[in-house]
Amino acid sequence: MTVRNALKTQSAVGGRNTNGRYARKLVIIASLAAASFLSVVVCVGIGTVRFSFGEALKALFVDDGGMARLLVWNLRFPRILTAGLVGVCLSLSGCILQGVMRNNLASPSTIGVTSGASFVGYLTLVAFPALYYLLPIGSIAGAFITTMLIYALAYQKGVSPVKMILSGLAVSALFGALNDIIKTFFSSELGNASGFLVGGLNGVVWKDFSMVAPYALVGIFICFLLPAKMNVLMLGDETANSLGLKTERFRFFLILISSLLSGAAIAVAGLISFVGLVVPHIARLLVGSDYRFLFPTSVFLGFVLVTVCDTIGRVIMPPGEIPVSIILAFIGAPFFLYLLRTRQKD
Amino acid sequence: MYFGFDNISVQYGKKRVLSDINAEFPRGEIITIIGQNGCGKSSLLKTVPRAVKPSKGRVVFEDKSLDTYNRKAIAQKIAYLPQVHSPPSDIDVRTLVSYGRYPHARFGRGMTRADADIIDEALELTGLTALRYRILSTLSGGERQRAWIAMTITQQPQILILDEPTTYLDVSYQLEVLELIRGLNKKLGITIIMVLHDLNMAARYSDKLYVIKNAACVLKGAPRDVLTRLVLRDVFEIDAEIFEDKTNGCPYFIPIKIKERSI
Repeated sequence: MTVRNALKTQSAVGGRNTNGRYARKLVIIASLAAASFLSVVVCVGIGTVRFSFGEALKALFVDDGGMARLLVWNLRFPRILTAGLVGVCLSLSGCILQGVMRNNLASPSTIGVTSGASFVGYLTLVAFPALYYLLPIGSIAGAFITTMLIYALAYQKGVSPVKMILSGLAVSALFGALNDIIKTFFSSELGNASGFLVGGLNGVVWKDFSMVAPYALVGIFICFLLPAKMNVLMLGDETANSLGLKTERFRFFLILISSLLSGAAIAVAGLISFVGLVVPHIARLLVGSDYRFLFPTSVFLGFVLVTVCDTIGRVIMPPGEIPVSIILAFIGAPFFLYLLRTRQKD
Repeated sequence: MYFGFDNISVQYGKKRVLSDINAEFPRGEIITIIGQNGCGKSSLLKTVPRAVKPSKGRVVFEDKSLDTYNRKAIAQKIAYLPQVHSPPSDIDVRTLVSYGRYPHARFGRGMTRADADIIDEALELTGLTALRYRILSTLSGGERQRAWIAMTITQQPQILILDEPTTYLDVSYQLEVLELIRGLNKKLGITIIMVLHDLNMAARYSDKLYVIKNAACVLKGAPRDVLTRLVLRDVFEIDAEIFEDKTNGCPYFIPIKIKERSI
């Protein structure tokens, strides 16, 4: 009896109270939000012409018609904002996909969504060369078709990692080949969409930002209505169903939203393969798997990561540029491996 | 009919698992469905949360087919606990229990004070108050099962359906869980419908036993009338000795040998 009591006391001590734990998570989210803001101001000041923090802040918020304002507002800021938006979209898309597939290896790039989205994007550009703004719609449709395809191929009461990765690989290879064909034979029609073709954010201006922002913002907004349902879905289909969640319909809806997000990102930045996988992982290590915290954490992490990496790529080897996807791989991959080795709790 | 199965058949591909099951569950009782492995008893329960779609027939609740209710409305009245769980690895007890409020939640409104009270009450009732901030995966099997049951209590159901709630549990935890279930039945008046493997446990904790054999419900009755040598022989294919557990006032059996099959 004493042993039992001792065990009970010990377990009671082991639990921290909810408020304390929530507070820690909220502090993390707030710090990341602050970091997002700082990253914009700092990155806007970096380049061939440098601005101090104060100058950059002034250029962002005061329209004095000066050189700093022109450079920051017309060139650097739209690009940095687009980079951030791409980061947010890919992170959220990865978060959702990992929930839908119940599988932490899911992300837009690992399951071939990126290449599927590019393919339909290319088709759109070839079919309507003058209607540049249709590109996001094409890539969103492509992302949706690919995700549904992978889901149908690999889903049986949760997606088996092997099946998902293999289907993703096959689908990716197929669309990749088709993409190469299109790029070879229709190079003149594709001239308009440089970022989309090359991958990366070189030369992105306000026009590009406003092309994808509506889709992205709608997707992001909807994400913040979902955490309660996502959490219930994570209990498994049978339990979720018996709690009153229509799991099949909800999954379909989630695939739609994740496609909206990844399609929008791909339309402006092309193939960026690291963010959607890594950011949800890091977010989960920081705040756990509760989607109420996971979504905002992913948003700010994705924003900071892509903004900073794009800026590094922009300035590291002047006068040339290194695409953001390469910088992401160089910084993100080792970091991710380090995390896997040190915190292998999941 | 308050709750029951009306002519339900279940088919997996060409294999008929259940055919024309009719069963009525009176309000406020504990009813356990028993039968051999693969007899379809779990499939029968799974028709309630629509995890299994019957090829024929319907589940009836308050004289209407369950299909006429929307899912959240069902979840407010009927809770179902599956046999196997795969929750997120870092979920804590109170968070899990709070998900039972999902069917009651209104769009765009968070947890209210009333929700929190219901959650704390469920924790108290299942003896988990001291463990409420612990990570679920660090608890014992019995404690974990109690946490899942606490989640179903916060749904505030009239009916609780459990698919083998004592699987993988040591005997002390089995008793712990079944005592809890009986307590819910007595204290809150929740109708309990469950599947159990252990026939002695079933006889001890149930008001009635329903026996499934060859895809049909072959026998219903009080444990004393069901747990007989003849039934054990015909349904479970063992020769057994039946005794009386005087402490708990229920029958129990000891298997003697496997029934000799006529070859």
